[in-house]
Amino acid sequence: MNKIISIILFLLLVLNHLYSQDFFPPDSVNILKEVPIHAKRKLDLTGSKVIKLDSLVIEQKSKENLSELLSENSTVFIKSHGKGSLATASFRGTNASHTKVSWNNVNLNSPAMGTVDLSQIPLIITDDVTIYHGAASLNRNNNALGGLIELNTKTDWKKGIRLKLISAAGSFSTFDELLEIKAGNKKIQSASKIYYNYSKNDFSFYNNDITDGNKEKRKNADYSKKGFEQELFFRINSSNIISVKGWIQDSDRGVPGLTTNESGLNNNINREKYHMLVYSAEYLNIQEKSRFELHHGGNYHNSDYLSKNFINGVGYLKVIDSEGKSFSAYNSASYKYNLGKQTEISARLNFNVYDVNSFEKIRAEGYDTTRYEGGLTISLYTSIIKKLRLGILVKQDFYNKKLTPFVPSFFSEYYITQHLILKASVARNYNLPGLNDLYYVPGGNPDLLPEKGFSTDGGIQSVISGKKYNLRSEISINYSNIKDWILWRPTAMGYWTPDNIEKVIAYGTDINFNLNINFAKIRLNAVANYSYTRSKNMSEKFGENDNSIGKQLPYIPVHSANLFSQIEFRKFFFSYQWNYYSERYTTSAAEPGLLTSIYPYFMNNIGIGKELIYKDYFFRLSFNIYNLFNESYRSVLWQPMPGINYSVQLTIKFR
Amino acid sequence: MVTNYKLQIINNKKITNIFSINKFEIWNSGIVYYLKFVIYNLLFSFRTGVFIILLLFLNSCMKDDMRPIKEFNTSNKGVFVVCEGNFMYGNASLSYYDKQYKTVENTVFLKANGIPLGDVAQSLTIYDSTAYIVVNNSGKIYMIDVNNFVYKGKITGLVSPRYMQFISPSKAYVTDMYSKCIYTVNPQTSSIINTIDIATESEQYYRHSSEEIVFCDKYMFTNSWSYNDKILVIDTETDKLIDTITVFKQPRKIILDKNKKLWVLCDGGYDNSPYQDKSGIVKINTGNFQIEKMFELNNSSISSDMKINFNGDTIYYIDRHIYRFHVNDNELPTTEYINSGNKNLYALGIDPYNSDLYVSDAIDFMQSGVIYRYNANKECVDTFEVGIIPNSFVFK
Repeated sequence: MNKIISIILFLLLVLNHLYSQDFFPPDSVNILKEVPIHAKRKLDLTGSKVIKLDSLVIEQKSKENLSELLSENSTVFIKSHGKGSLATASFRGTNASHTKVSWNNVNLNSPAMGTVDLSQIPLIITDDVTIYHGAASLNRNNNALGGLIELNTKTDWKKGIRLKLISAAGSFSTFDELLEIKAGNKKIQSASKIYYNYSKNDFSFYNNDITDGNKEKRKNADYSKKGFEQELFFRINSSNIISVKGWIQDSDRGVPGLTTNESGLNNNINREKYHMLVYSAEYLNIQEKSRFELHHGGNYHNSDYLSKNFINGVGYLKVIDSEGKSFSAYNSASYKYNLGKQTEISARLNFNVYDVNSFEKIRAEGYDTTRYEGGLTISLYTSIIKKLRLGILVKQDFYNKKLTPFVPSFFSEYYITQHLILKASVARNYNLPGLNDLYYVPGGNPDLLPEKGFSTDGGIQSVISGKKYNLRSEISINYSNIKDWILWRPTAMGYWTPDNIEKVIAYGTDINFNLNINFAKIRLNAVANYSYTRSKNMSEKFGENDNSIGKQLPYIPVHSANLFSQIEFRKFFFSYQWNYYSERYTTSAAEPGLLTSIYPYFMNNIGIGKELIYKDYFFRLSFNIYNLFNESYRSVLWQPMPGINYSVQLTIKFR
Repeated sequence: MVTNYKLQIINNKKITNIFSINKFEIWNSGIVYYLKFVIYNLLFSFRTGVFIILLLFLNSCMKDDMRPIKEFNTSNKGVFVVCEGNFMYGNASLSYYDKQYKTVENTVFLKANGIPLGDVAQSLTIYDSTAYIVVNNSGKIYMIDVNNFVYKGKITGLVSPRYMQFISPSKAYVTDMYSKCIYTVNPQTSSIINTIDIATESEQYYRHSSEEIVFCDKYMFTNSWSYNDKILVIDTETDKLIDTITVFKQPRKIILDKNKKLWVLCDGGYDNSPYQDKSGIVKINTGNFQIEKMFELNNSSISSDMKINFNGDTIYYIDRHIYRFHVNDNELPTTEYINSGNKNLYALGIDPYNSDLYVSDAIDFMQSGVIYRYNANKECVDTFEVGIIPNSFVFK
């Protein structure tokens, strides 16, 4: 019995929440990004699993993209085709199209694909990364069946000029240059960011997937990305704030073939180019009891995909020349009113327009379509008794002239102590088919219905802190039942086509913790995550030989875990990053074997560095080793990943 | 020591109130000691350091590709089942079925050679004692011994090869989906000899692909399937394109009957695509390249395969169900020969030795398919599981 109690105690000890934290003692010289501390949990987060990624981790990875950050430091599963290549995210066993990513309330998901390529989102363009799991996203501008990743920029209204310069060089001719300038006063603030990332990415690997295989260099995997971001904030008076933000990016990358390809150097050359422009304008009015927000944003996205082969006597012959243009406009108005200290009501109106033009020049076919979406969300959060908080949220949306399923949801949390919270939520949700799902030629299915989900989650969140340490943790369990799940499958014609399959059930558990210790001039920070995910097709059999019922969906690992830790002593620091994915299957029947599954992998990265502070200047030099044990591993079938590799990074900050 | 601290906490009499805010400090203080202990150990204990390093190295024993080699020796008559796999998944495989003992061995190429077959195995051709496997999206043709499946050579540097047929031991034709040409290759030297230009016309949708190959007299016939509606005629003496015959959209399969008539199965193009029309079967006179008959098929299902028996007088095709008719019939059959039930039939094969019919169920095209073997009385004599998307049967 004692043993059981001690195990329970230990588990409770370990529970906590990954929040931005104040692990630097107040007297220490700290010119790292200031982290706001939520003295009190926000009422509208009642019952929700919301994780704000550790600012130290974001700072460490500021030259990387969202894909690296999430795959190494969250429970969100990232399916990546390699560095710089397509990377999509899935939450708790749901699809990549069920994950929404927004930047200052502008959705970055492609309205055509429904997904977002996380390798195209550099971390420099955001100050915060907040993850809303499942029903927690209903409360935001972009609700998602799986989860929402919100990227936001903000200002601290500090006076004067602040500069940040990051310059990094790494193996395989990889260069990252970033510059950030912030300036302003209490009334007006500006932030400008400019960046350039390039990598030849021609790492060596041993190709044992072909006969006479040998050590070879990865071809056509290069990538480059350049962009500029500008933010302007105006504080008209203490209650009125206007902000305008814009972000433009150009990227170009090769799409490498499989290791089994032997069509030759001049064949099977695939390239992808993206141009995007995202802007956001926001008006905020804060009164003593109310908060009013008005937002308009747009996302213009242009992509080109070209595939060509060299034919003797003809020259390069295009096989695919596909152009996708999309424009999405997002508009919202929301109003929140506090009825006393412990009750708030809010209402939000949304209206979005999507316009997609997709055309393939060789086959001479494509589609051009527009969709309108909008809706009303009303919520009420209250604390009836001191230890109990309740929330109810209802939402009714429409698209074109159709109503989406009505969304009711309930949230609750109970404070066992001030440091230990029990949470539960239950919600309906839906996801509209992407425009490619409906209209893509060939394969689009105009008869697709929206996916309808029912989800419930519960969890325990705790914070334990003393003078010298701080431990936050959260354990949650989740269950969702998604009807009319959209699944793309190949057909006898060779192309793929989507259908609504009857039902998918996804359930699992996430565990997150974050530990900070300040002890004898040593600072230790550790962030660990584990997730167990089951996601199963529970539909009727597709035919008498169908073996896919009850099987784990393709590319979703059952177990995944990661750990980031950093020890700092006299401005020297050592960081260690570890992550793990269990076996992933690629067929609908979850068949094991070399041809159909991807073996588990562990990845270890380390970094060492030194910080130096001189007057208003801050210098940080770091050296990182990735894939420390030179593992050969894969994230996608027959796509090699680099072995051990290095980078050196210099960060200079002013003020 | 850890245990001691835990016991200390548990033995505290006020343990029952541990969750109340007031008593929280008691629990707290225990944790502080516990954490201090852990930190001391982590940071300053040499033993712990060694242990951590050992743990890290344990990580590195990752299960890399385990590819044990298996030896085969199959002298009996058998059937190769080509499983094309999914595009860009590299999960193509080759299965071998022993007719006499009714046993199947899957992924024989991988097992015999320790390497994967590649991405999209489109077809297999046997010539002498060598099987030539055309791996479409890997741009190559692998050669293996028909009895022990051991690798003998490869022809690489092809764009998007589809089918291969021999005209002599040193000359074979290889069709291609994207290169707008047909390759002539020398299998003895594994080299490409020449390319035959087939991009003679220009019109919308004209993708100039080439697919299956049928020889008749001095002519080679091939169907231009992808976004096309042509049968191409090539003079094998000059290796020039000499004529084209317009059929229904997307001619998918071609066969030659005992009367030297060419039969063409057209799938009609893609749903919701501007390039879509009727599907059907076309009969062509190989002497004057004229169409003799055009039969329309039901457009609601996908017509995926058509084969002829060894005598060249009975044609079998899949149009959801399996149908068969005699080459001299004037109408297509209205009732099916074998009903597909709820299976997703994809490929057909007719055993030249005993006329057994082999049919594949590709299920959802994303998992291992199943083969049904029927005798001449339509009795199912065996079923077995193979690889992903079984697309053809080749009889040894």
